[in-house]
Amino acid sequence: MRDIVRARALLGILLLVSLTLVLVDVRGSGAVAGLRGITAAVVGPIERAVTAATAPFTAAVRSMTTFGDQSDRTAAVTQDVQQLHDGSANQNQIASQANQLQSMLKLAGIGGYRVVPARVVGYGSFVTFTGSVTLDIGSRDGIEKDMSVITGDGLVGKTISVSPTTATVQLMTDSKVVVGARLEGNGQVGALQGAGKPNEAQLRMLDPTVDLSVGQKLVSFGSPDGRPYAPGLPLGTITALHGTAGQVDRSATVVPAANLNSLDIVGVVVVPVRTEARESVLPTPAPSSSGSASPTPSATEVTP
Amino acid sequence: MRAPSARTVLAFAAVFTALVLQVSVLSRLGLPAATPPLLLVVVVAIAIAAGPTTGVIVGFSAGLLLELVPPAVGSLGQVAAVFAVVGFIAGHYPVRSERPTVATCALTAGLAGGSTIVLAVLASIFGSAVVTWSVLPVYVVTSALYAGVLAIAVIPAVSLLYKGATDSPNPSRHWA
Repeated sequence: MRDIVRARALLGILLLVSLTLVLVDVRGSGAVAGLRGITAAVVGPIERAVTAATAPFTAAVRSMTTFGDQSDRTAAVTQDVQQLHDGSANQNQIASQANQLQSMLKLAGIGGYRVVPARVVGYGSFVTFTGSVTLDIGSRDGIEKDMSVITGDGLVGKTISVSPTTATVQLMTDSKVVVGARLEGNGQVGALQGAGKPNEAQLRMLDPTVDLSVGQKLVSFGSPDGRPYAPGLPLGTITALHGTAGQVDRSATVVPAANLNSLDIVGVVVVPVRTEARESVLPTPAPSSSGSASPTPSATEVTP
Repeated sequence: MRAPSARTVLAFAAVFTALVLQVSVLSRLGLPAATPPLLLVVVVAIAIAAGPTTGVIVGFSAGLLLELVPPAVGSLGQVAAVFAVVGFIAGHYPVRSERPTVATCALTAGLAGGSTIVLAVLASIFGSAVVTWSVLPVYVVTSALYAGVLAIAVIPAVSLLYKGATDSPNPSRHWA
C-alpha cells in the first residue's frame, strides 16, 4: 500500500518534470540539443556496432518484408521500358528531361558537389508521425547541419544535427518538412510537404491552375547555396490528384523517388559554400561541350 | 549513497539493450507500419516484476532515453511521461507466475496501443508533429500486436532475471 502511495506521488512529480521539459523545448532552449549531442556521442558508436553486427540478419528479414515493393518496382520499370519502346509521344518530355539532367550534371560537376556515402544505423521508432534516421558518419567526416541526403533514386531528407560519429537526418516525409519542388518538363514550382505517412507527401503548386497528371515527376527546387536542399534532385512521382485545376486547396499525392521505408546506403551531398557559383555557370552555353551546343531554355529552369 | 544494486544495474542494462535493439535492429526490419515497441515491453516487464514505484522511474528514464538517443528529434518529455504512466499501470499488475499468460500479453498489447494514441494526441497538442489521423488505427493495431508477441518472451525473461538478482529483501526501496 505504501508503495502505491509513493508511486502515485512519484508519478505526479515526474509528469510535472515532463511537462516542464516539453515547455522548455517549446520555448526553444539550446539545452536539449546539447543533451542530444552528448547522448549521440555515447550511443551513436553503439548503434553503429549493433547495426554492423546484425546486418546479415536485418538484410535477410528486409528482403522478405520489402518483397512487395520490389515486385511493384519491377512492374513499374517494365511499364517504363514499354513506354520508351512506344516512343514518339514521350519524346519531347524525354528530351527535356535529358537536357535538364545534363545541365544538372554539369551543375554538379562545376559546382563541385561531393557525395559522402553513409549507412543508416537507426530509424526513428516511437515517432510514428515524425520521420528521422541516424547515419554512421558525422562531423569528423565533414558532415554539417543542413546538408541534403540522397539515395541513387532521389532525395531522402536533410541533416538536422551532427555528432562526431553520427548524423541525424530528418526525412522529407516528416510532417514538419516542406521541400521546394519543380515539375519536370514544364518547370512549374510547388511545395512538397510531408504527410505524416511513411512513404507519402503532399504537393501544392504555387499556381493552382497548372496542369498536373498522375505519373509526373518532381525535382528539388534547391535552396540558397544548395543548403539544405541541393537543386535538381529527384523528389518523387505524382500518384493521385485531389481537387480540380484552379481550386485553391488543390493538391497531389506524391510517392518519394527514394524508398524511405527501407533505407540502407545513402549519400550526403557535401555542397561547398560558394556564393553565386551557379550564376556564373548557367546562363551561357558551354562553348566546348559537344552534346549541349544549343542554348537550352531548360537549363535556366533548373536554377532557383 | 550506496553502490547501485544488482537490480538497478539489471533494470538499466535491460532498458539500454532494448533501446539499442529497437532503434538499430527492429526498426530497420521494414515490418509493416509500427516498429515493434521492445522498450515499452521491457518497461512493462520490469514494472510487473518490481511494482509501481520502480515502474514509474524505469518508465520515465526509458522514455527520456528514447527521446535523447539518435535519431530522436523534437521535444523531450512526451514519451517519458507516457512511459512513466505505462510503468505505473503495469506495476499494479500482480505477479502470479513467470510463464506468459494471456492476461499479461493482453495488458502489454493494450498499453502499447494506448500509448500510441496518447503520443499522437500529445504530438498534435504540443505541435511536435502534424498527425495524420487516418493512419493512426494501423499503427495502434500493429504496435499492440508486436507488443503482445514480444511480451511472450520478454516478460518471463525479465521476471526470471529480476528474481535471480536478489540482493535485497525489499526491492521497492531501491528506487526510493
